[in-house]
Amino acid sequence: MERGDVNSRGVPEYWRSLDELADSPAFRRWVEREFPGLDALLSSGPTRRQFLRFMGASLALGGLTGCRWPKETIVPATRQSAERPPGAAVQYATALERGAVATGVLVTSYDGRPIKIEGNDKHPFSRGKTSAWMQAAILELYDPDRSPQVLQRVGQRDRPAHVRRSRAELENFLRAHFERLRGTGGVGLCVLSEPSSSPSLAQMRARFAQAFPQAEWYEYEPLSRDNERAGARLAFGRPYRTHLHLDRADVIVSLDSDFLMTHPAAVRYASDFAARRRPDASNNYDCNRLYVLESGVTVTGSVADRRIALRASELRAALEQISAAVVARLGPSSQPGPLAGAGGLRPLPEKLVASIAADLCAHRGRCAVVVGPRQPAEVHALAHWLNGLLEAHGHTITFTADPDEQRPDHWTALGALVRRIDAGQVDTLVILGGNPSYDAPADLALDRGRFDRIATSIHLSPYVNETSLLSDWHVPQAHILESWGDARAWDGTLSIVQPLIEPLYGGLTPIELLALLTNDRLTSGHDIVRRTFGELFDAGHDRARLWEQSLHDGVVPDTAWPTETPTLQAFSLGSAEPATGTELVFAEDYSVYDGRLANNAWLQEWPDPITKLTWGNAALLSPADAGRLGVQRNGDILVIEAAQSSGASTSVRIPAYVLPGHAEDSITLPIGYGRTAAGAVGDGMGVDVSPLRRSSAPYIAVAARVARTGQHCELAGTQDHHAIRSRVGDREEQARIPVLIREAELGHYRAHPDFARHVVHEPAPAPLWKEKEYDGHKWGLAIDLSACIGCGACVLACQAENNIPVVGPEEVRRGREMHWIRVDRYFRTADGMQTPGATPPVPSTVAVVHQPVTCVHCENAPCEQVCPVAATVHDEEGLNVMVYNRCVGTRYCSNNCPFKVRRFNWFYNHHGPYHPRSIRTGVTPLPVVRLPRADLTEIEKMAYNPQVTVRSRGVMEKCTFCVQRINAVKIKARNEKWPTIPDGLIQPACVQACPTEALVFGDLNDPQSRVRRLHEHPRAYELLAELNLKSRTRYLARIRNTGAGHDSDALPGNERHGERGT
Amino acid sequence: MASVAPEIDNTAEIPGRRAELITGGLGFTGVTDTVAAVWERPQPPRAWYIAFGISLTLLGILGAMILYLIVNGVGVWGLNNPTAWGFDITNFVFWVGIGHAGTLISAILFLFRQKWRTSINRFAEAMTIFAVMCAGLFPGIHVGRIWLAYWLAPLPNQMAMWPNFRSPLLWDVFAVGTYFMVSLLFWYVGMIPDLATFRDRATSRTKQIIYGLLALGWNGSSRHWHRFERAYLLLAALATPLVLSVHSVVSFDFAVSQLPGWHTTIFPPYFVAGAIFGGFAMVLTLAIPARELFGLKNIITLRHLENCCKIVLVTGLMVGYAYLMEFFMAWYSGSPYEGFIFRARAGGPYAWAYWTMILCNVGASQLFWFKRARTNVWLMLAVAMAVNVGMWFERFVIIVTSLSQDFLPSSWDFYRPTLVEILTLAGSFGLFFTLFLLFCRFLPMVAMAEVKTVLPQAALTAERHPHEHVPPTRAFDYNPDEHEPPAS
Repeated sequence: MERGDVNSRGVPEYWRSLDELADSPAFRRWVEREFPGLDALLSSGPTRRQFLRFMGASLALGGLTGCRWPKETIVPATRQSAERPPGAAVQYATALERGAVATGVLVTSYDGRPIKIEGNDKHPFSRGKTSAWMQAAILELYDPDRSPQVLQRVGQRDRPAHVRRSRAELENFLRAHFERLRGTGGVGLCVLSEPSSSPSLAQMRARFAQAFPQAEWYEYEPLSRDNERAGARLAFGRPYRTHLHLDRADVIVSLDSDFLMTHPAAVRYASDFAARRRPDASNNYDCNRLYVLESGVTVTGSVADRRIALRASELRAALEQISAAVVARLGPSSQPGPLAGAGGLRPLPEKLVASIAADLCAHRGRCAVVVGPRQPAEVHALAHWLNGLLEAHGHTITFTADPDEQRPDHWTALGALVRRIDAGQVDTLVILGGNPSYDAPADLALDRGRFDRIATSIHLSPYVNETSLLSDWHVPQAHILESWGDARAWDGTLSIVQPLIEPLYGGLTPIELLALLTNDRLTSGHDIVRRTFGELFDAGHDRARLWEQSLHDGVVPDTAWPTETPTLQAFSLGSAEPATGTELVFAEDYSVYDGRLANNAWLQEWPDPITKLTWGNAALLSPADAGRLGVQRNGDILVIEAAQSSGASTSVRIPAYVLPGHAEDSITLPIGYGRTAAGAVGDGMGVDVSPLRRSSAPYIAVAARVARTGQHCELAGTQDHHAIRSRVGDREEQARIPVLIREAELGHYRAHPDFARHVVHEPAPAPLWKEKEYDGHKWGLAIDLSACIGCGACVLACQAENNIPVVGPEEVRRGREMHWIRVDRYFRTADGMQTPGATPPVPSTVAVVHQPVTCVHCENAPCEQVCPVAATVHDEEGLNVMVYNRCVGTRYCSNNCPFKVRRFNWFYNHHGPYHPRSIRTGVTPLPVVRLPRADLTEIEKMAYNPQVTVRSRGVMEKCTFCVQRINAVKIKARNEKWPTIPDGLIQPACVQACPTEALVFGDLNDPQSRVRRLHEHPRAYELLAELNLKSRTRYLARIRNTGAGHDSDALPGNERHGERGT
Repeated sequence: MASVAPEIDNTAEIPGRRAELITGGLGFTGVTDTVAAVWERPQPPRAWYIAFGISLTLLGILGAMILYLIVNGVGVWGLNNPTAWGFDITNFVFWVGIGHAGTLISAILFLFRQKWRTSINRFAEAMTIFAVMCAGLFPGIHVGRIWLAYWLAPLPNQMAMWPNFRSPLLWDVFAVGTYFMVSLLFWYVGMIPDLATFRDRATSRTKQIIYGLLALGWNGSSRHWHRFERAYLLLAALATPLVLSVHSVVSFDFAVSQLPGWHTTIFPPYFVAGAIFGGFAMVLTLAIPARELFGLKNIITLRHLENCCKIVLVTGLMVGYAYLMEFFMAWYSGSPYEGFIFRARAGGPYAWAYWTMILCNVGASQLFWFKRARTNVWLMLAVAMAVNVGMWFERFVIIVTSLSQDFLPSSWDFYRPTLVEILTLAGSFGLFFTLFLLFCRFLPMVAMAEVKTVLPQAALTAERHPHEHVPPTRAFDYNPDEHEPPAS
């Protein structure tokens, strides 16, 4: 772009359009005053030219010959014939990477427009399944806030302005600048990179090191698993990567590890775990047992058979207790181990320790002790040692070599860089991705002062974020769905990352930027990846064929790292007494991760699986602590001060959320919120807790002071709204949970396999008229509550598939979220919701239960008969369908729906008036009368699934069992004259995403279908069956395997079995 | 009581003697003069202007709120996912209930030969019409796509598609629609002789033309009277079942659903009793200031008011009984959901609304056991106001508490109205009172012709001339207890 050049006085010499006038210094000053640091963003936006560019690209990909596309060959993992009719969906295999670990996915594309992400069944860590954040990547691709322009910071340091630059100008600058650096061998040149598993990036890094031998390269990410590496180094002498084989584990003891949710291999682990949670007669009531010891309540903890709430800093002592008990049982071991003995602290009751140790010893070789990444290296080492003792190594736990053994851990690396900057030794800093100015701990913050010490800084980033605003150059980064690349899974399996679309905003990938810096012969990502591929696979392979095969399958065969068998060595545990005072645990946020996903409205509105909070974070604390602090209700604002050696104190004000089951004297703080330059959606949502973080204690710290401020803010949660809470209601909720979510102890279930059908007396009423019989297909769903871990992937999969709008925090507070499927979460306690502040603190027996609820497609649908205009009716296959065109919006159907799964469009909801984008950028032509609305940009419209109607204002909507998917298969079956539709071929989005296969869909008239067998399963029950709804969804009761001899803290509610009737 | 003329207490029951319904010795002319004076005076009282100004302002607010609603969507109200109905349907049921008393007074009391009804039936009917208009407004504007609200009507269309006749909302459309039509006809037909009186007394050409048109050429001939009385009787017979049906059908909106707290067979009689209760309270609320303001105290006497109070007392007891019975049924049914919703009403987050309802409906009307309360207009007014408030809260409690806490606790959510809803409710009172004040000013507030028939003179005439020829075409007599049919 040649626009916006300024002369020495900062005045445009001439202007040709109003846009250019808008770049005038006066206007810029005004913008700067109004929106400090955001002027560049505000005066940009997708231009007509960009729109035409990507529309052209779309056409090109649609099978026509384009002018740019055919330059690079994409071999798609197509599931259909070579003729590609317009409007037909095509799937391509690629991979999504986060935290240097990739998971393979298939991306559905319509006419060159990717709209939906599914798991790749050929990928070992997806196996066809996805997690919530993977589903949400589509929305990020079409985010209009992504950076469209190269920006250069000009003007004084204290009053910077950003000028848009063309790609050519950037390249000219880089060529000149790095030519000069090449002359000095790269003295003063530093690179700060996000960790990556990409072999191409590694190759480019090697070339970079060759070109600039004096340059330094640092890797940093705010959430790292470096403690695991350090632990392995301590136990084995070398860092190893640990692999769990949960399908082989009978007993799992997890310490602060959320391996079902936040682990890079969580999708696979969840699937393996759930495979052992479906006990019935056919598998001789096989069920694993999970003990979780943790401070907060995680998804993993919520599905534990026995969950023990302990302060995170006491887990080491707890593990020492368990180890000692195991040693006592097994006798002295010959293997070398920790040299120091257990400390004085014994947080676990002896009886519990004895039962865990007995359980572990009884399942030697079939058990695993898992430690989470927050725990210090010593705890990991101790767990390795214990696992060795329990013969888990090689069975339930295997090891591979760490991909980069030599690298320092992330905090050390960032610290080293900061020290160099402070010493004035950094002349040029290239930041590849990431956002260290926002997410670095307080003592290592890459703030304005540190940037001032760097002569030239270049930041590659998909957004103009906090770091970009401080850098001299901002270079837009291409989205992973626009990029060529490669990445490795947790076990090393290589995937090729292929683009689904031409970069919408012309971004670069890290390897392409490095190619520019090193003056590489190759400039395109595709060529670089192919070159790496060629280097990885020697001439012995048929490389071209392998390449095409790998692109098609989404995995390169046989690229997993070989399993290694490390040997334990003696190590010293050192002494570490947990500090006194309230501990602060910095947790990865389930929705925004470390903050990088903050501008993703789907994820912002996605309810946290445990707290059900949306659009922000809160300080999670136990009811007892809340009582001590005087927190009356969720949303009371706390002030938390960090303990630090220097005099200055930093404090953070954050609303409290009282989380039953949370450990006492401990506060969990999810990171990643309170962004200031995330974009229109993410800015100002939640509270940034990184000022409390220190690199010395990045995960578990101690608060100097926690106090209530007396202020209050209403949290945007989708469940447990405070105002509706009452003593009567709480009692009733506790009474209803065992009826709604039927559970039994494994032993009880074995004795009474059909216990779930006898919780409520459900007389089968004789029909008053001849009821409709469904002789064709009869679609139904089964939900196995024993397998469901509550991860919420179904919620986002449904949102992406069905064009479900985002309404914004204000509307969520009103109770108007639009999700068609939700995961209900209940806390069950024996003694009501409040755990009294008992001293000494006892392990809390709170149980968390999850229940996905969506339209159950009742055959006797209460919604249908009350609709005055017949807008909701049954189809011939028993689907309760919603005719949007006919709906006038009386909402009577919703009132009469016992599951409250219907969702009403209170406004025009695609950027409704309370969507953050509308609030920030919406226009109101009639300000008094009309609420603000930001129209959908052309780019945002591309994210919509063309197979699903976008609902208008005033219309009711609800789950359709993804009728568009059913019809697509039925049309194909008829055209190709299939005799039957194979079971499992039709999968609604939620079913397809579910990592644990807790949701199963199919034809109930097919006697062989999985769903039919599950409907007939002894554990199956109908929710609210006493209403005679004849629902098409059945739940399978949840089984808990707490083990015999633990009657004292048996699940509340189980003893109520059979008591309650209607 | 700051009245100009001393109040004449005609409430005493003296055995063997009928209390006079019209006091002050008003004869036929006196009645006409008193009623017509309201219309004939050149300026309405200052209080009328003040009231009209307030009402018109509220009406303007209603218009603004509806415009705001249509431009933005139903989201401007505070409704949410479990509570998809709130103020909108509460107001609808409230206004339909108000609309009950008018037709009850004119039709049922007419058939039961309750002569005291003649003094209050006209404006009670007017109240009905306006209340039903207010009521009809809410289902119309509460739908998501207001511009398609007409799809609820069974109109022929290119889809050859009828509305869903199984839906109680459709029954509502018919029930309220029919009720409105019949009430309007009944009101208008009953008014024709009085409109003719206004026509005859009109002092300007415009008035003559307007009232002349409205009077439909009434000339007071026996033939006209005959036809009129036939029609009136028929309409009364038609309207009577409607009084019972309309609120029964409105109650089906709830009773036919399966929501705990809604799904109960007690609703039709309970709603009808409640509607009569609320309707009579509104009659009192309107009658007491009106008779004061327009000097109608001799026509709408204390006795009339006392009778209304008695009905309020009786129906209030019925409503109280229904409240008790709901709890009993909830317990006796054994349904945990039903049991909970009643516990939640009394002790949950909306307990304040529930207890307001109990206090206003069951508590306040108990004052009417005492004659002193039934004859003190200030107390009457206070109780009537309380009942109006209580009956509004009754509907609010039924709708909102049941919706906000139904089967799955995960969905429970609190509903709180927005300012828009509160102003819309206030605005609907503006619509009601604007229409009512216009009615007071421009139409005969009291059924003059009917009042004359209950004057002692009317009966005396017949008795004084027992042999006077009675036209044989008079097949029925509207005073059968005082007129023996002529021997053939």
